[in-house]
Amino acid sequence: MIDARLRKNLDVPLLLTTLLIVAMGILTIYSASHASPGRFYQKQVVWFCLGMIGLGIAAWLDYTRLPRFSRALYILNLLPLLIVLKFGDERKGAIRWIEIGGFQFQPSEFSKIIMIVCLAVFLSRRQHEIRRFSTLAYSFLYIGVPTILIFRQPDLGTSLVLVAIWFGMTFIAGANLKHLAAFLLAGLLLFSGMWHFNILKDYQKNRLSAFLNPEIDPKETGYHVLQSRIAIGSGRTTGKGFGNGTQVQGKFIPENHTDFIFTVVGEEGGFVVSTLLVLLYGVFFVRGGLIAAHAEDALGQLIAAGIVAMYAFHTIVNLGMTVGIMPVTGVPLPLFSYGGSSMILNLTAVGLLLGIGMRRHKLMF
Amino acid sequence: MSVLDTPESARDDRRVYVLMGVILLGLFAIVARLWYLQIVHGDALLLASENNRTRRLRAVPERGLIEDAKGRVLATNRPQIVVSVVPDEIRQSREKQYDPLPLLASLLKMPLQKLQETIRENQTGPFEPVRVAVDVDMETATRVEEQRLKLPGVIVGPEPLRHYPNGLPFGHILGQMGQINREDLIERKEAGYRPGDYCGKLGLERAYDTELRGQDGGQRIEVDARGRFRHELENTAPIPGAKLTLTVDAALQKTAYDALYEWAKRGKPGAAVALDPRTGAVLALVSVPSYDPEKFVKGISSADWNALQNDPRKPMINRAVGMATAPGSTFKMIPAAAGLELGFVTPYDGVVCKGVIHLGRWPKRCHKRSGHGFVALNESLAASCDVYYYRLGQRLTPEVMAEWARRFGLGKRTGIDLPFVEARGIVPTPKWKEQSKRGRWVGGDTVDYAIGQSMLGCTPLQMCNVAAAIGNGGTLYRPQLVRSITSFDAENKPVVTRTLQPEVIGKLNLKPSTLSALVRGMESVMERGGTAASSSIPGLRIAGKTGTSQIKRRGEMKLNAWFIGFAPVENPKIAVCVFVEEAGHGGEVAAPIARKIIARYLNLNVPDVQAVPTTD
Repeated sequence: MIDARLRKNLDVPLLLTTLLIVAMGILTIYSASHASPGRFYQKQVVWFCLGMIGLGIAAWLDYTRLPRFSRALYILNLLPLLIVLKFGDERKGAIRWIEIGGFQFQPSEFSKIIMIVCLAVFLSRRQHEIRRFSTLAYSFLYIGVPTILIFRQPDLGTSLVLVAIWFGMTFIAGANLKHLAAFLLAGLLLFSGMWHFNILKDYQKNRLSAFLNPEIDPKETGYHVLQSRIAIGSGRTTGKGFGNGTQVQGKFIPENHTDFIFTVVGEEGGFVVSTLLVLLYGVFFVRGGLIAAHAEDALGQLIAAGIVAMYAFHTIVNLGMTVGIMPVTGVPLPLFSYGGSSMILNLTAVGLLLGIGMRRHKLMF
Repeated sequence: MSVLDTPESARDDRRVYVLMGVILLGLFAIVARLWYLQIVHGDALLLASENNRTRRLRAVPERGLIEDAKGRVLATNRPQIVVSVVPDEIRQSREKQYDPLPLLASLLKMPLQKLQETIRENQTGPFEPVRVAVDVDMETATRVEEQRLKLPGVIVGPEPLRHYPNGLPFGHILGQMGQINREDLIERKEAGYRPGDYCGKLGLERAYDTELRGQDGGQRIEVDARGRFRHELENTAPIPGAKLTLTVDAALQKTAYDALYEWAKRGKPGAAVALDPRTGAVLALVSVPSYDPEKFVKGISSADWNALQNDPRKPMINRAVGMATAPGSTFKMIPAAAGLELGFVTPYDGVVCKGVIHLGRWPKRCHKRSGHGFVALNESLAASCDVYYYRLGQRLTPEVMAEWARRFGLGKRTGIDLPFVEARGIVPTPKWKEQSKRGRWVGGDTVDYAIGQSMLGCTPLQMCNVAAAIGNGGTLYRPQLVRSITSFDAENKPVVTRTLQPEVIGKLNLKPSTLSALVRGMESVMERGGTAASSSIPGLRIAGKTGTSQIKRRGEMKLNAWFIGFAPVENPKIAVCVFVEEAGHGGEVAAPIARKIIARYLNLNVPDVQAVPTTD
């Protein structure tokens, strides 16, 4: 089924790192939520198994065959996003979910990986003209349509991820740095404009202002920021011990099995375990980056770079908000936070990455 | 696609490494921040997380009992129903648009505004119950309980309330309880007092408040982010307050009280003190009229307060320790002692009393206008001849008399364990008179000094100590009210932690000959021809001295009756001082009361005596 060359090129460190991160994640979810009725850690194991199937399929698929499906994928991506806007389930002021047969799933999660593939195909076909501004602008438009749909859900985090993916991939594709800088500047202007003209929801604005000054209103918006700072700091060097985090167990930190899961690691595992986890992510990005650097062709390189950019953005933004150096945006910690859609998607993405690595000719150490 | 389709020139792998670099830099920033939070600020944030999650729920111990010398209960506790509210729960239900306070106010028959004020002023923390009504009657409590569901955050439960089963004779000794005030709270916060706490305000309740109150126990619980109980971290039982056993005998106290009350009900307030001359233990200490400490337990009603304040006899004044007036002829013991010690007089030589002496143009009369004739020391005490002491005073000089008055413990507080109320008294000197702008010292002042008039101010307690010191051979002890303190250890076992230790506050240093002359003189006061002869008890040798001090009240001359003494002379077991305001001569008014006290203490059954009129 998988020939010897492919097996020989399997990136074992990347796979092991992935499994370690997932295992730590499940343990952490157990600690954070074993007292509450959701049985999240059991479900997460199920999601992990499903994700491993996705990982296997994605690794087994030859990514070089993807370009011919790109148009179909692009349209397939837009449909559920439109559906969710019209019929989705409203949760916490945002409509992100579609329910199928008792399972909810978040189309925006899948949207990310589909867009990485589509954009990779798009850019690899225009390799020679990417330094032209018009091509860059066109690529932005290409990714802009789903981004706006996601933003309207509203899901600020995921739409920012898509923008980050676009930046990462066009940069790797060889776009002119001045053009990218212009886009960055325009983006900042746009954002401040949206702030000013109230296109951002109040809670989104509050989160940002709370980040800048959490003490303003410690009971409301600044709550997350302050409490997670206390939780992490109180872990000190070696932590309070597995299952002993008073901040976590006392539910001082809401969403502690999803977006704020890193506070559990920080409180119960202390500096040692938190740094270990960050190091694991570091290994993950280095291995992923090497796959991109050594990819057989531009398409592989762009897909790999897109996936790494997506992971990195997720990881840094999530950890950054948890430790209080970035504003609160609802971005989960990839492979770690509780969540079925994102677990399946993330493992599938790792499968894609592994598949690209397996199909190269150069040797890699 | 094949290798050939992708020209190497189009690929720029360096950009991949740049991207990796940026990502690793981001991760490094995270680690740096973790270092800052967990290593640099870890300890402070750990403390913050501890404060976040733990709360204290207090368990207040039962206040210690107070018993008399024979184990009769003077102060105990009875259960009362208390209604309290938990401020945080009120807040929570208000957030849900429901305010339980108006209903509670109407059930308690209390203005809503006052209820809100009580909660606001006595709140110590969002989770600590605030008492809004104490000693609620059963009916009200039942009505509140019936409305339970509509009153979230309202607690109805029993709490101990101080109870004085027979408080009236002991009012000035036991003192008062009350809610702690702001100044006390600041001063005693370290000791664990909280706003709204009850504590001793006066008397023994105040002096031994720390011992009586015991030690708070309670739960330290862990709560979640909404303040809901998670689990218990610590639970310590409160340690009950220590028991005070007094030196006072309730029966003797009652005897003294009843005897004085006979005069008090006729508008003549008074006081009596009985001490054990061997130790300074207070056997009885009454000031009549008294007040019932029970009335202060829940906060005194304004009607009761006004009644106490408007009573012309001023029941709130502790006359036994807090009121210093001229001791009259009881003071003569002091110039007598000084004269004997300094060799100005002997028991045998004397003066001729013609009923008057002349200070220049001014006559100074003896209380016996016809004169006593030849008077030596013994007769001077027995008949209380003033002329003898006029002459003695002139020889002693006021400075020496002041010095000797101080040696007998006058002019300074005895240090009895009743806080705030004790008066120092006044021992005048010419220098003091001038400094306090009372004019120049004149010859009349000196002679008045010697008979205990002038500006002298002594408390009955001080005068009782004078008698005790003469009785015990010359030692002044600090009067003490507490025989023993029985505390409870951690296992709730009673342990006697303190017993009465006599404390010497002064020595008279008198020659035995002086002492025996003084005692002999005091004994003859009780004998035929003495001013208190009618108050003698057959078969008991009593040493005594009467006194009648003159004061001007509303333009009229009034006589304050005094008596000091001790018994039995050969081995004194009790020293007494009786003082009755504006009631007449010491021999007629005070001595019979002292006689009753002595007889009661020594278990002698004696019939009441009809007082024989005397002039001093």
